[in-house]
Amino acid sequence: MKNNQATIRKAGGVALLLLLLLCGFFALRLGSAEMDLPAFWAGLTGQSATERIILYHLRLPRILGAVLAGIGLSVAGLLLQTVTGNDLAGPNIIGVNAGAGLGAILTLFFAPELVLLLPVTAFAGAFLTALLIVAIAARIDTSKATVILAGVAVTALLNAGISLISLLDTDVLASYNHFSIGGLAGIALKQLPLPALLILCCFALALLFAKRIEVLTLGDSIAASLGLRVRPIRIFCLILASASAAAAVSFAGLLGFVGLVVPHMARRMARGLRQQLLYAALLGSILVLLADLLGRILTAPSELPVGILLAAIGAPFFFYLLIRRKKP
Amino acid sequence: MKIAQISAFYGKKQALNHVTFELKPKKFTALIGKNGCGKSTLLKCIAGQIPHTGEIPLPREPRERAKAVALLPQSLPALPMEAEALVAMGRTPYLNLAGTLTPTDREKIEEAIRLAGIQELRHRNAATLSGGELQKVYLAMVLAQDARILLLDEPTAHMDMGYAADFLRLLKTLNREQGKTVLAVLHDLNAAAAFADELLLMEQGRLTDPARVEEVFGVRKIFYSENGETKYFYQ
Repeated sequence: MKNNQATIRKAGGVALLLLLLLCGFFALRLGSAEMDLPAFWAGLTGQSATERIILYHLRLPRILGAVLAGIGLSVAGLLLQTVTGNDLAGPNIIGVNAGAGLGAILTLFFAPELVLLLPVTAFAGAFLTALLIVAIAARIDTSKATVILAGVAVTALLNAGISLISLLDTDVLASYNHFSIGGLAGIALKQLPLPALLILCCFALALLFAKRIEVLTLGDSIAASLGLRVRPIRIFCLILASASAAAAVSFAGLLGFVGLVVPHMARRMARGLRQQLLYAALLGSILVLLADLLGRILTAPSELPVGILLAAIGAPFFFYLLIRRKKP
Repeated sequence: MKIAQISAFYGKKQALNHVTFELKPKKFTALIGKNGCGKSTLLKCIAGQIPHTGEIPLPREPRERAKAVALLPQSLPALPMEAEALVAMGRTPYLNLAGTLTPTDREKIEEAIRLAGIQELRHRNAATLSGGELQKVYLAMVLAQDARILLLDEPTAHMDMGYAADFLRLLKTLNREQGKTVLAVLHDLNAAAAFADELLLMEQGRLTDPARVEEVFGVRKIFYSENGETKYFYQ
């Protein structure tokens, strides 16, 4: 019985990996510029310049961006839900979206000529906001509820700031909306190494420390009784989650919903935080990749931003999970 | 083990006032007292979880402390994970950074499962266990922790009488056969009288003479004889 379940779970992981590769293949193969198989092959091998540019400079960066954003947001969401013990926690709750949004809108308002630096300011806004919330919570007591309440308060304040600026300047509002919906269009390979490094480092650290982090779910008292330094570990997790989610939204825009839905899926499928993290990374990548692919082909040659499709796919699935949530 | 002059505060409120006592090794000590008198606070001080003044001769470093003393608090979360995985978490103080279980860890986990008598429950989802079953799984977890001192905060609070007596007998056996020092907060005076070797009575943050039980709780000690042995219960 036990071995069966473990085997099923492992098989599920392999199936997800195959699904990810399949989605990756289709994301490379399909798009608004149609190409037949020989042309596709010629593009892949670099024999045909046009196809090569489409594949390597347009589609590949999007695929990598989608995978990275999926990993970054899902891992952040899972860590947050684990350390706060709250099913509704996600990157939004620690101010990642509001912070990135404020960083972006401030750039657009005060220094529109620096629009190329938007990913940097969005990252800085997201990460600093998350750190601020963690610092406030740490000053009080880092208990599970404090982090969330501090997050709600700071987020509300930043959103007020965003609203104020968008009222002052409607041009800024248009550009900001583009960022806030979230999208992977126009992403370039050279934008990715830094966020990739951050996201993958956070992922690796979370995997490494998974066994410790998991003990926090037993509650502060038991975790402390097991010799765990509860406060430092909780803060460490919050920082990992902040950095990971901030790196993702810096180039993909506000895709926060992934970070809320995917951890629920991962927890249903996997046992133990380490396995859940791996599943969350796979599921998150697949979800963003699929949403981006559908966005590109459904209304080709124009396209739907990935954020809208994510909500369209994610929300019904979330309802399904909620309905199935009844205790066994 | 001499525990001396323990004082602890919650804000300005003094929760413990110079508590001094001898925690006798390998004995079953029951800590009794009315709600809010500081019993749980005392356990947390001994486990090293809250700031306090006074002397407790145990290591200060959290992992070393955890190898010496294990605390099972009152509320135990029913997490959606396999009971065995929950027991394995008891090994946390001994694990390396990555949390890999060594053969020794696995042996200790097996032994803990056997001692707590939860072989039947090991593959069950902890979220589906009854309160009493869950308490036993957590007991196995603290046994896997392999600390010589067990601190238990109202372990039988959520059990019916039969299950509670069963659980206390199990604790008593562990205390006798494994030489565990047990300090348990018990709300049932009769259970305390029946199972404990030592009785500590707490009143408003201080330890007081256990003989004052009747006065503190407003109960009467009633003696009876069974098989020529004089016993008593409180009513």
